Amino acid sequence: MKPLWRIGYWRRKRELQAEIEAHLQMSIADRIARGESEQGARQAAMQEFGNVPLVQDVTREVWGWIWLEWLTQNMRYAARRLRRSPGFSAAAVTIIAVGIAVTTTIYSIVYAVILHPLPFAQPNQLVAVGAKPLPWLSLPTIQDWQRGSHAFQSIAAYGGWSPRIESSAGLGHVNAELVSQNFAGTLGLDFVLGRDFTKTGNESDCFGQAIVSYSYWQRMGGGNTLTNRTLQLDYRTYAVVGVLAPNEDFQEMEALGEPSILTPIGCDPAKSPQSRGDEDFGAIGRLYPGVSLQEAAAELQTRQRVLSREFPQDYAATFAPVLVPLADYISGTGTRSALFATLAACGMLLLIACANLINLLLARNMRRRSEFALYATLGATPRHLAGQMLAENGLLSTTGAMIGIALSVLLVRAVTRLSVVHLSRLTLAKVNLPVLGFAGSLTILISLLLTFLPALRSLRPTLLTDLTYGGFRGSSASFGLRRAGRFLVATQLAMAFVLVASSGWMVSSVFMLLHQPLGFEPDHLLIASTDLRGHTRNVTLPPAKVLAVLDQTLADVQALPGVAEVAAANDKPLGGRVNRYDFCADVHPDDCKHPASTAPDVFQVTPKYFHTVGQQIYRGRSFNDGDDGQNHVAIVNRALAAEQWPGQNPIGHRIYSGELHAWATVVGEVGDVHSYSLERAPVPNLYLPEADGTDTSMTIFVRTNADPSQMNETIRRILQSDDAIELRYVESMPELMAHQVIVRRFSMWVISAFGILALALAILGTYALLAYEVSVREREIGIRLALGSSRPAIVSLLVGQESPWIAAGMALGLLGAVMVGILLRAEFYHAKAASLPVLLASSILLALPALVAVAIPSRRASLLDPSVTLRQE
Amino acid sequence: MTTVTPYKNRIELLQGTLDMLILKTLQWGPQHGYGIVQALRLQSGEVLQVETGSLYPALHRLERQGWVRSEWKQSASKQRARYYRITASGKRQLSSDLSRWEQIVKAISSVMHGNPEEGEA
Repeated sequence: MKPLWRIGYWRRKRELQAEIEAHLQMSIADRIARGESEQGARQAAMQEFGNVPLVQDVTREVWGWIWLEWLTQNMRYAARRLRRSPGFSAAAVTIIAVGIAVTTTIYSIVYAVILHPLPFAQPNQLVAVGAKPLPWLSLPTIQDWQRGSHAFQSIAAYGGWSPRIESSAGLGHVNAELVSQNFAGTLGLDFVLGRDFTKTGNESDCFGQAIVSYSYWQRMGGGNTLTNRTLQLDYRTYAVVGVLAPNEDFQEMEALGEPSILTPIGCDPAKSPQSRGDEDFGAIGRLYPGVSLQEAAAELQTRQRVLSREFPQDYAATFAPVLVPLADYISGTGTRSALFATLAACGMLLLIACANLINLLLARNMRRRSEFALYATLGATPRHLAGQMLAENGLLSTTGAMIGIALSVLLVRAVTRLSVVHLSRLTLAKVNLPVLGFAGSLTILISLLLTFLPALRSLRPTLLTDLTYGGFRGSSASFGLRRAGRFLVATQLAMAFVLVASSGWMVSSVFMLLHQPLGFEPDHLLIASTDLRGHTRNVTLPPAKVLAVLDQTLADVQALPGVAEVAAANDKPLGGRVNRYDFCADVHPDDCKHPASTAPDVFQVTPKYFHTVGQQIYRGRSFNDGDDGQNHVAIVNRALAAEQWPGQNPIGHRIYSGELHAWATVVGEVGDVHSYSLERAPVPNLYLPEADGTDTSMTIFVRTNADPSQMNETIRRILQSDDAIELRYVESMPELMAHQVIVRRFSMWVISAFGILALALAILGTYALLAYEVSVREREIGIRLALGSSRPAIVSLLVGQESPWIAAGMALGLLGAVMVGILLRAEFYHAKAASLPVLLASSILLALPALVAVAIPSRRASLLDPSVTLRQE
Repeated sequence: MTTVTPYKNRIELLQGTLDMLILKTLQWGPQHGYGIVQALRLQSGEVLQVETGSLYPALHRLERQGWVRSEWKQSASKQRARYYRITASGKRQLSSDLSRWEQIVKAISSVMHGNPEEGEA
């Protein structure tokens, strides 16, 4: 409310008072002039005028401001009423505060991660440009798609790397991004200092240039001048040519590599990587205003059909462009659905809490019926009563909401600081204006719900009975109330069921992911990622030298106490990297003419690899030291064998691999492993000896006897002291697996917490309703007992009356849970297998406590002493 | 069940007529609330006693409509009072009220006396 209006209001109020005073004075003066005594004149004038406050009231009503007065009056009264029942008020405020705190916190995360517009100019025009079956693109493809496009203003390419950096900020590793020159322009990034990369087309003009983020610039010491400011990336010197404007969001985007440094891919198109097969880059496009995603996709498809005809060797038959709005790409569809599911769960919890409160209010309003009846006889209309209730509930929910918002500020801070889960832009979550707006609307909604649902029942006073019986003793009068209460309890049970079942699915998903057969043995397995070229990154190292370095390293590690076995491979299981080359088997030699995307993933491994990781050798043999690259041999997994030679023994068959540029003989068949991730099923894999086509980027696998976490430091020290190699990281396999389920585990904990809370609230609601019912029916039960009803009969009567409602609630919950299960099947890994056990467990988890909640008050009722209860009135 | 009769109902019953009477009174010159009550009583031969609970809401409503304007002035007897003055649109309203009133009176009296206008002529 604007204070100005109020001043106007109070001024008019004073004027009206003065006007009436003048009226009385003139009337008195006239009467005295007619000869009446002063005393008599005053009395007569007052009498003639009538009820002064009433005249003021009806006049003010004309102004349309009367509601302001009602509001303050109602609020004052509401505060007084709530102070008089501190227990109820505290319970209600706590329930609302917790509900609002949790919901607001989750909403602020949803807002920061998903809803908040991207920090780029006209973010709606930006799209992530990718392809299928694999998302990456080659530079020539991007350039061809961009040239002469009517849909795209520009398409920028980017690829992340994490080089060693040395600058005035110190030594370390940094997230850098190789970008095409139009990258900053396409995104619309602003510069505080310097400029974008030059676009002269001369390689020398942009050679060794870098653009740094504002925060990295601050770490470098900041300042207003770029002269002589350089940094070293992987031992090469770059001049800083530009500093980006502060853009916290941009550096929080995992999908874009969270870059601190941008360096150009190349400035001379003639010198940039020209191979169409080198699909290394992501791309972001900016659409022309008014161009839809569909139109852009259609244009790219047409262009790609031409390109595929022109370069059939470079594109897979299924290769096609894929466009996703950049905002969706950055938040990630998995994150999106997980967060919205969490928000929905949260809303459900809030609804359960509200239903509980409504039950409390129903009971309370029942006790206040004589009070309401009294108001009604004094002239209060139902509208007045509803206004009064609204004021009380508004006060309750506003107080609760304020505490809740304060709590959520702390919660959001905790979530962002502790970084319990890594989500793009999560650290930007805060309780800002849109979040406050959300919390405010929730508060209003809660006040309305709390007022109007109970009001439907209890504001129609049946005056006579209420006044005479003091309102709450007669059991027949509260029949409608009890029905409303049971309905609410059934609803709570239904919603709690859905939440409990959802958390059951989350728990079983995470459990299954971590305990499914992976095709290898993850326990006691340490992995160390290394670069065999060492710190010099010498690209011309001869293979023999690389192999010697690897052998020496493996021998060093093997010599450590506690190490059972050591091996190496150029990639790890659950690694997520794709290594595909042209491939065909002897039975389908024509496949070699088709591009790489139908080919198996290739792993280069040392002889003891399968034994070290615990991968089953199904047929044939493992590699041995005799496989030195002269006799081309290969091992296939069962998926590849089944694909190429269904029903046959693959041993002795021959395959061609683009990695070897030669044919090789299959000597073994091994079991399938999850090579991409925990969630993705095994795919065809081809294993080649490391000695045959040496890779310099190798992961060392260490099988330990002792707890791998204790070996971690030892192995790290040994490998770091070895100057011939560069160590990237050491991690245990269980750690890597835990990292892969971290988002899931986070939602699992959140939703499980909601499930437990919901369960507790629903059971509490059931208990409270029945306890109240028993207290209302004490007399009736006393009569029954006095007339000879047995105590077990009383218990079974009460339980029998409640059971159908509980059963109905559970049935509704089951239906809801099944629907949620279908809607969110993507969220629940292998949920189908777990469906029945989870639903059964949820039913038991809910039904048993619900029955106990009903049985306890029933038993108490059966223990009543009729001689006491009947005499109470 | 007790029925509550809000005060307002009685105002609404008189509303159209009271507004017209007030406007008519103000046509003779600016007047305060007390003065309007007195004037109406005198003019009606002590028959019409306007209740303050109807008068003040009516005055404030007329002001909201823009048919009257008010200002604080000293009365002859040195009493400060709020004087209401009829506006141009108030005068138009008065004449339309008046013609409607005359129609109603004519219609009602012809019903009550049982001789339609044409018969009289």
